[in-house]
Amino acid sequence: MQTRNVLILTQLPDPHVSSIAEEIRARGMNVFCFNLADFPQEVILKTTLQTNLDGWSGTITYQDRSISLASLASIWWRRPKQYKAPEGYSPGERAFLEEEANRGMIGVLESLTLHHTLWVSRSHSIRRAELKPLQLATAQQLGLRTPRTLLTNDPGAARTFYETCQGQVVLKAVSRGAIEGEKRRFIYSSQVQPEHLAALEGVRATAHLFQEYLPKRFDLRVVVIGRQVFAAEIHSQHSERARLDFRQGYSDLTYDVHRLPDDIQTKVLALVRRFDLQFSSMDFLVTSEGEYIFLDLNPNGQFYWLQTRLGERLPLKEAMADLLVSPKDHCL
Amino acid sequence: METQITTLPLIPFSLLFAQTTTPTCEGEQTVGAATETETSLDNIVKTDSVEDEDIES
Repeated sequence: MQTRNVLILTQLPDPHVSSIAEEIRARGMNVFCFNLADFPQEVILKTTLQTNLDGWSGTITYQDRSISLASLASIWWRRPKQYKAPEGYSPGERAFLEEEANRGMIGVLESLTLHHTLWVSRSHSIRRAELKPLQLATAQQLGLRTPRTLLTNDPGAARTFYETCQGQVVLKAVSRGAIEGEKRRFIYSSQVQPEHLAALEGVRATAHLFQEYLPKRFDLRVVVIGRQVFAAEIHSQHSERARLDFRQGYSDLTYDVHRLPDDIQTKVLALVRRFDLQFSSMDFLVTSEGEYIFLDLNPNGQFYWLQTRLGERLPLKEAMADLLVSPKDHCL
Repeated sequence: METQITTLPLIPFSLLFAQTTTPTCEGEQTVGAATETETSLDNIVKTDSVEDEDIES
C-alpha cells in the first residue's frame, strides 16, 4: 500500500507549516510542500486523464522527491504565491504563461476532490469568503448578531449614519486594509471623530465601510478546523492603543480559552459550512451583557499564535493535523 | 497654446486613518487564491496581516 501524503501549498519558511508538519508525521503520514510560484520552474507535473473515470493520474516532483496524485489525502491551501514568468517575455506573453501555469496546476489539484482528496480549503471558496459584505449578510441570515453597518461611497449617507449612531462610528477597510508602497500602511478599525467630518467628501473615492461602535468586554477569536470549534478571549480593554483594534498592541494583550454557547457554536459551524470552508478564523466581540457580535471572518488566517499563548488548552495544530491526515473523520 | 488642467484626486476618507505600522502577531492573511503578502513577526508566531496579491482567481 502506498504511503499517503498531505500536500501543503505555501512559501517557506512558514512557522505554521513546520509545527503542523511535525504533527502530521507523528500521525504516520508524509508531508509534501511546495509553492505555486515554483511551478513550472522547479516543480514538475506529469499527469494524464484516465479513461476509466479515475480522473487525473500522475506525479508531482519537487526537489528530487516525487509523489503520486493518488496518494494525496488532503491539500492545505496555506500561503502560496503565484508564478511570475521571466521578464524576458512580453507582458502579454507573461500573463499568458502565468495563467496557463496557474490554471493547469490548480485545475488538476482541484479535480482530486472528485475522488479522494480534501482541500483545506478550496481556493475559490477562500476568495469568495473574503468578501466582507457577504460575510456580514450571511452571518446575519444564520442568526448571528452584527453591528449596524453602512457601506457607501456617498458622503451624505455617511454623515447621516454618523448622526444616527450619535457619533459612535468605526471605519473599517472592506478589504484587508493594506496599502503597499515604500512604507506599507494599514487601515485598522478606527473611530470616526468629529474633526474627520470635514473630510467626508473623500468617501466618494471608493467604497467605505462604517459600523456602529459597540463597547466590548473582550474580543473573541473563534477558530474552526473541520468540525472542531475553538475560541480564545483576547483582552485589550486595558490598553489604549489596542482597545479598538487589538492588532495595534499585541504585546498588551492577555488571552484565555473561551467556551462558546452551544447556539453560537452551531451558527459558527453553519457559517463556515455555508462558505464551503474547512478552516476559518473569525472575530466576535462580547459585550458586557454577554452578547456575541459577529465582526468578520478570515478564511485563511493565522491561528498558531494563539496556541503559543494558551498552550495545550487550545490544541489547534493537533486539530489541523487530524483534519489533514484523516479528512473523513474530521471534515465539516 | 493649450492649457492642461490637472485635477487632483480626491483624498479617500479611509486614508485619513492609514498608519505605517502593520499588524504583527497573527495577521490576517489572504491568499485566497493567489496572492498574498505577508508581514512576519517573530519566528514562531509569524504574522501576516496584511497581505495580498492575487493568485488565482
